[in-house]
This record gives sequence, C-alpha cells and structure tokens, in this order.
Amino acid sequence: MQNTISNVIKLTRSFLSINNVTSHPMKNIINSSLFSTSTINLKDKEISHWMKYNDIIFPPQGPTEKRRPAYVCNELKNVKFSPKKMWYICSFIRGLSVEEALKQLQCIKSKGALVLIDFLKETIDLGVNEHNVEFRSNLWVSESFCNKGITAKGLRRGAKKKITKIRYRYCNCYLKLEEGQPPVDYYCREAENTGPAMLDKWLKQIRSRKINNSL
Amino acid sequence: MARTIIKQIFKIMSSYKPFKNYRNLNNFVSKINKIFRIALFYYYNHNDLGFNFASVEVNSKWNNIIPEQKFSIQDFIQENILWAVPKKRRSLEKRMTRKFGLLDRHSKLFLKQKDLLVCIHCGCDYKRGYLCKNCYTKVMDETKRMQDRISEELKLDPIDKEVVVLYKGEKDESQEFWKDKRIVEMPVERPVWFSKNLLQKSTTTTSDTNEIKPDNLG
Repeated sequence: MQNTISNVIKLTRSFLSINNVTSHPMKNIINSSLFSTSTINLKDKEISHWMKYNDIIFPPQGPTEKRRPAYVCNELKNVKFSPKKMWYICSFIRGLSVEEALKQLQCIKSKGALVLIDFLKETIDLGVNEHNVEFRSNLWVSESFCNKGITAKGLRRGAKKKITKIRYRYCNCYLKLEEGQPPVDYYCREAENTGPAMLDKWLKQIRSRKINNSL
Repeated sequence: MARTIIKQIFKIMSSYKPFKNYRNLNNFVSKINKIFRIALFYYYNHNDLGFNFASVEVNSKWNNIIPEQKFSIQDFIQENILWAVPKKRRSLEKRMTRKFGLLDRHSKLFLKQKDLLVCIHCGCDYKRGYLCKNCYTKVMDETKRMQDRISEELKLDPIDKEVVVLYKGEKDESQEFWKDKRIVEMPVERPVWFSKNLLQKSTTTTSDTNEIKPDNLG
C-alpha cells in the first residue's frame, strides 16, 4: 500500500514538473518502475507492454485544448494461427471503422478472420466498460498488428525414412481502437485513382520511354 | 621486308638458349617476343612489329596430360547441364511480389468489398448477387426439419400419391380436398415467412379417364 502511494506521488510530481509534461506520459510509468519491463515470458502479475498503454494517466487538458479521444488497447496471445497469414488480416482492418471492419471480416474465408471478429467485439466491450468510450460504434481501428507467439515443434516422417521437423505456429494479435471518425483513406489508395493522379502517372510513364541505341 | 626482319631475328635466336632448357613453352615465346622488340629497336628504331608470337603446347612432358575421352550424352547431361538450380539471385522486387503481390495484377492483400448490401428482411449484410446468409440458413433449417418429418412418415413406402406437408392447425379443412394425397403433419405452427403459395403447383391437370396419352410426339 505504501509503495503504491509513494509511486502515485512520484507520478503526480513528475506530471506537474515542466520537464516531464512535454515527454510522453508512458515514459513516466516505465521510469517509475511500477511495472517490470520483461517482454517474452511474463509471469503471473506482470502486464505486457501493450496493455500498459491502457493504464496511462494523461495530465489534465486546458480549456482551449482539443479533447483527446478515448482509446483502448487489447491483445490476444498465442492464437493457433500462423503469424504470416495473420498479417494479411490484421493489415486489412487498419483504418476502418469498427462496424465496417466487422462487416468486412465476415466475408473473408479465413480462420484468422473469425478470430479477429471475436477479438474486436471483446475490445469494444472493454473500451465501453472500462476505458471511458462513449459510443460503441464511434470507434475505429487505429492500430492492428500481430507477431509470433510460441512455436511448438513436432516430427513428421518423410520419404525414405527421412524425419523432418514440423512447426506449429502461434501468433499474438494486438488492437488499438480510438474514438471518433476513421481517416478518409488510411492507405492512400483512393488518392491514386483520381483523374489528375492517373493522368500524371500516365504522363510519367510515357515520358520515361526510350528508343534503344538512340542519341 | 618482314621476311628479312624475321631472318635476322632468328639468327639472333639461334645463338640463344635452346628450347629444352625452358620449363614452359610460354616462357620461351615471351622471351622471343622480348628479343623481337629489342632487335627492332636496334635495327629500325621502332618497337612494334605489329604482331607477337603465341604458342600452344600439344604433347609436352611438363603439361598435365588429359586423357582423351569419348563423348557420351549421359555424362554430358549429368555434368554439364545444371538441373533445377537458380541462375540469378531473386531481386527484392520479385520477393516482395511473392509476399504482398502487386495491387494491379495479383493482389495478395485483402481488399475492402464494396458490394455489400443490407437485407431488407433480416437486417444482415449480404453480398450483391448472393443470398443473404441469415435468411438462407433459416430456410435450410426448416427444409431439413420437413425432410426429417417426411422420412419419418413415409419410411420406405413407394410414393404413388402426392405428398403434402401441413403445419399445425391446417388439416381442419374438408377431408375431400386431401383425398388423393398423402399428408405429413408438422408438429409446429407455420413460420411467418413461409407462405402456402410457395408449394402450390402452377400447372395442375385434372383428368377423369385412366388412359394416358403420350405427349411430345415428333
């Protein structure tokens, strides 16, 4: 109890001081050593780095400042799915509103899509219940990525008594949902398809042509 | 002119060391070339004759003698042709196309589907040109239940009469109507979306005679 109180005091002091207001609030948490910073093998009470973003307490905003949108971070560890395949699905939903993402994921024929649908729904619930999100549908996927989890190994008999290793791959999925309207074009693909942009591209191609063996 | 030069130079060479003392024919020939230059410079004040001597040893003690082999196609195929081996390193562009694809041609990325519409009956999303999944599953379940009930009733009897499926509370109509037909009763009430008209035949022929006339002749 005393330890936590002292740490809270440290945090508030650090927030009030001029130096730390400009730096990222996350640094205060890491520097104050409230949590350990091991990443791979977390023990029971340790929280992973991604979920720590949920615990940041931002300094109070001034009256003229624009309201900081609420966000929620969530992770799903050790899903039995290859991270290489999961990458395509995670990158697919970036920049979409949460409703749109759910709608689009239903059309994808992949196990990862099913996983992500449930995961998205969970994060929305988490945001609404615990992280001060006002409206369920007013969220968009600002960050979605995956990395590799554990890899279990097995053996498999091949031709001519040859034994080869099999790798059973697992992945971790991470999501960050932010409140508000999604950006118009996250990957800037629509910008390429406008008339002027296409014309410029065509012109560039035409002008880069060369007649071989010419001057 | 060239002949005279060469004659004079060979005179000089003949007084030079004999060929036997040279390990390699090439050494001897390089010496000759050097002598030529010196001689030319001495006699004609220019270095370059315009040609040099070159040598090829055929059978010499000091070269490794390669035994003559007969040409066999099998050996040639096995040794001299590389099978299933990369000729060049795969460029970064090629590697990236395999990984992520080219958006214009073979896109490996999932792209947003723009032809998703809302079903007016159930409110779920469906793809244009396809059936609404929710509605279709509803219909599929009901048909399965009907099929199970029919197989329960009919079992393995031959189907000589028309089979009619009725829901709860529909059999109270006059018995004459159902005279020639085999009735299968469902224990549940008719679902709201399943109208009676759907199973009504559009072309019905009633005949009093037992004679059958062949149709679709010639």
